[in-house]
Amino acid sequence: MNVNTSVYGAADTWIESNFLSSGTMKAKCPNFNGGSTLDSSTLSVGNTAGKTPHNQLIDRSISFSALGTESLYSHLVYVNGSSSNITVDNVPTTEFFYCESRVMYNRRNVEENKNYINSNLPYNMWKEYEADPNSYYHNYSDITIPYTELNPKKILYVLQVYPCKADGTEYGQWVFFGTYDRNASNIQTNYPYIMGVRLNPRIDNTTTATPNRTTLTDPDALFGVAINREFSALQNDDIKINYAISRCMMIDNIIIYGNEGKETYGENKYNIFIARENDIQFDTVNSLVYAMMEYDKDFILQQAACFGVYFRISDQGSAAGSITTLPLDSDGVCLGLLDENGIGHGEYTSGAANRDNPIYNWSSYSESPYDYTRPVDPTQYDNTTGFYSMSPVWSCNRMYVTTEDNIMKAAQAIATAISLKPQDQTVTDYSLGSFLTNNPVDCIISIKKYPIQDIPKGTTQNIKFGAYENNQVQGAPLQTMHDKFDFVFTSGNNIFPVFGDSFLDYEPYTHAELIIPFCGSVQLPMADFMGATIKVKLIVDYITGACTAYVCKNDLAITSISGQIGIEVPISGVQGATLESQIVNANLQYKAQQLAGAGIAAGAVVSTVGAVGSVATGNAIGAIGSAGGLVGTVTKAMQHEVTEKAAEYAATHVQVPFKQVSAGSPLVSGVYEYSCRLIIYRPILDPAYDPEEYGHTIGFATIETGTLGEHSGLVQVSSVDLSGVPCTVTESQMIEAALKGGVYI
Amino acid sequence: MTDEETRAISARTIMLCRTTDDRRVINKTLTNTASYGIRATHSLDILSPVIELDYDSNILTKNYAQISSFNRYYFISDIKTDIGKKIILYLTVDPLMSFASSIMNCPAMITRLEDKGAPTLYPDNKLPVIPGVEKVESTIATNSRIRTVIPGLPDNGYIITTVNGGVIST
Repeated sequence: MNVNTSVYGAADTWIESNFLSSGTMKAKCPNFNGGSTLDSSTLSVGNTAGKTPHNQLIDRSISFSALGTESLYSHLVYVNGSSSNITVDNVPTTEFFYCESRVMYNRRNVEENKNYINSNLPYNMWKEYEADPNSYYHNYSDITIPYTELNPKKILYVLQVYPCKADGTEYGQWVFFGTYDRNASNIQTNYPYIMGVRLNPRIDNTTTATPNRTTLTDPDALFGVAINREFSALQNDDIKINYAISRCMMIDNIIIYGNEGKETYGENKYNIFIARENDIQFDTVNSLVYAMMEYDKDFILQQAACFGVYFRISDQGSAAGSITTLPLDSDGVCLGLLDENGIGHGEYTSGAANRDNPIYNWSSYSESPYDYTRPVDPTQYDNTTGFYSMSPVWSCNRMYVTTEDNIMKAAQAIATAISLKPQDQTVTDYSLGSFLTNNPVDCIISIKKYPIQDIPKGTTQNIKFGAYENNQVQGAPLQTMHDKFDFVFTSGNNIFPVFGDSFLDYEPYTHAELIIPFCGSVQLPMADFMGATIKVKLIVDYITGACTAYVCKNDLAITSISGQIGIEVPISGVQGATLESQIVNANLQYKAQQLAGAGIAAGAVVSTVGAVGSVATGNAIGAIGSAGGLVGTVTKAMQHEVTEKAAEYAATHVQVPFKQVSAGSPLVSGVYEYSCRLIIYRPILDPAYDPEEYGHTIGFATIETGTLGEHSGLVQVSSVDLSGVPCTVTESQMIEAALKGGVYI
Repeated sequence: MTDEETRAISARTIMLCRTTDDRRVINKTLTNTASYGIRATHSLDILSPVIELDYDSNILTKNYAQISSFNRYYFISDIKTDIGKKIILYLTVDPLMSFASSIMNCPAMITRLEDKGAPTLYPDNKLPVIPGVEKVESTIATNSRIRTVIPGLPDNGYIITTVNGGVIST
């Protein structure tokens, strides 16, 4: 970092501070007016000297790093409590600096008089109202002293959480992160949500090699973090803020998540939250607004790491030791990792790996490469994929959650459901309803079996098959159209390198696949998932039985695969209404034939009498005609008898119309285990392989530039510049050939 | 050439020694050093000089040489004895040892290193990976939320869909 000396004074003039005025840890503070005491380092003096004007950000060159877009500070949430309006800043980076307040009483006074803060001045600047050192309401920030140099090794933060229940019931005190993470005393089980996360400092005030850390005890001075950027929501002059210092987020702690407890809201009051927008809760009953999220360990560590500081995540462990003397490369001690530009993106090292972290070798944060004037990639990478609930899209059908026993009863019921209308009922009621009937089996659209025990459902009731229901067949209305199941591979089961994170740990030598129930298998790119937390989110569609699994790397969906989780169950039954109509028709046909048969017999007698009469009068032709009519009548009678018999047969042999709903679907996928399985295929090295011998005789493949003198042992090159070697051409060729073949240093 | 120069050439010495280091070692360890005077009987090739010395059985134990006036080191490629109690040494220049300090400062693109200690991210087809053989490992997700049917408990995982019809009320 290059501190702007025109603002903060030349480096050799910076005032050395005994940290917090009482400790022995040394730190440097700027010199605004060329003085020789810490009085020259206050923002107030800086203002007098024209270096830190009011209503402007202080020069950002004092920031040793910045919080990247992954930090919640770059997405601060502002809530206008009275109207529940939420706005969110979205910036690529947020600068911050460490500062000290030298007089405690000012802060306390300001806290006691929070409601006093109703000035119309903008609150995104370091000064809210006029300074008056003698005023009871003296502005806290007048005696704020920023640090220009701080030794990162001198501060070890302890990560703490503020647990609560899903309904906001607080645990009541801050808990060590390690205690909470291992669910000591079942705190996490009983209070699975987090209302606040903070880094609580332990200061090493010694100059010895062995740390001796203590908490902040100086009552007259406080150490904190000030955020040094514009707050977009505070551009409005009418906005009042519920913080005494709008940008000094928390004195003596760094707030990672949440807010300073629950906040009340009222007229024209804005609250700033270090939280995600969807974590903001409104309690209209008690006029409270606060942030609350379900415990997410990885997310909390990411937020802490953005600050590029040492923090402890465990209060136990074989190498834990006392926080007082704990070495900074011990298990459970993490160190935020800044990128090459000095920006924190949430990555960190831990334990022995801290020694590889550049910050580990810093004696001062001034060694940071951060330059606030350097352009920053404005792309906001959230590196997460949202999975949202969909409001129930109720189909025009009824969907019931039921049991296997009820399915069997339904099968029996619709197999015999033919008595919808009383037989041979004398019809006296001609209303529309008495004519309506249906086949229950036609009213079944589908039956699916899901390997899910507790599908969300309502109150148990009779299942209606159109207009038919049977009080023996019960089910509960389905209450959701979709469901989501999370499969998480814990850190011990993720893909991790076994060949020293070499090429052997990646394709094509090592490859991995994930078998997801009901979907099949999906290949996992090793580079994407190496060391990451693998999560599978299985989305189930209860309407179609389809499912889609999203394979996530640390909450970012990388790939997906679809499948079928609902197994179609075929069911068959009698088409009762159809059968009934067939029976009725057959009977009617038979009866009609019976009536027709009686008519034919009566008609034949009349014809015979007519023919006899004609013969008596000597009309031979008429007699002949009559005789022909008699023959026709007999034929008719005989034909009718056949027809009547046929109708009788039809009436007594009505075929029962059956119907099957659904042809069924394969259930083989339901036989596989109901959890995700990660399968890793790794190469095998020859048992005789000895890395020492191999390295000495062949050497390990690499591609890097440098001089031979930087290495030892076998070195082989692909090209070399022999300028400066005073040899003949022949010797030069010999040297080059030797180097390309490999030489020993 | 003046007599003085001739005498200077005549006073050239050769340091004979032993080394057990591989010829590819840049800075070789030299032991059993012994110096001998060189008689200039003919022209010398600076890269492959042939040196004639009086017979000394110790010479036969040497395999390495340095000629300071040439600023070079040499491998003794061959030793021959000659009549008249002479030993003839056939030398080949060792440019690595001769220009060791300069070579160490030369920038290069390095492709193999011993001091890496282990395979790197760069593919190495010389590593003895057994072809066609794999080790298969599998692990199950520890947090499964699909609740399977538990034996003995009722199976309530059925969803039946029926038409949303009904009797039209009269």
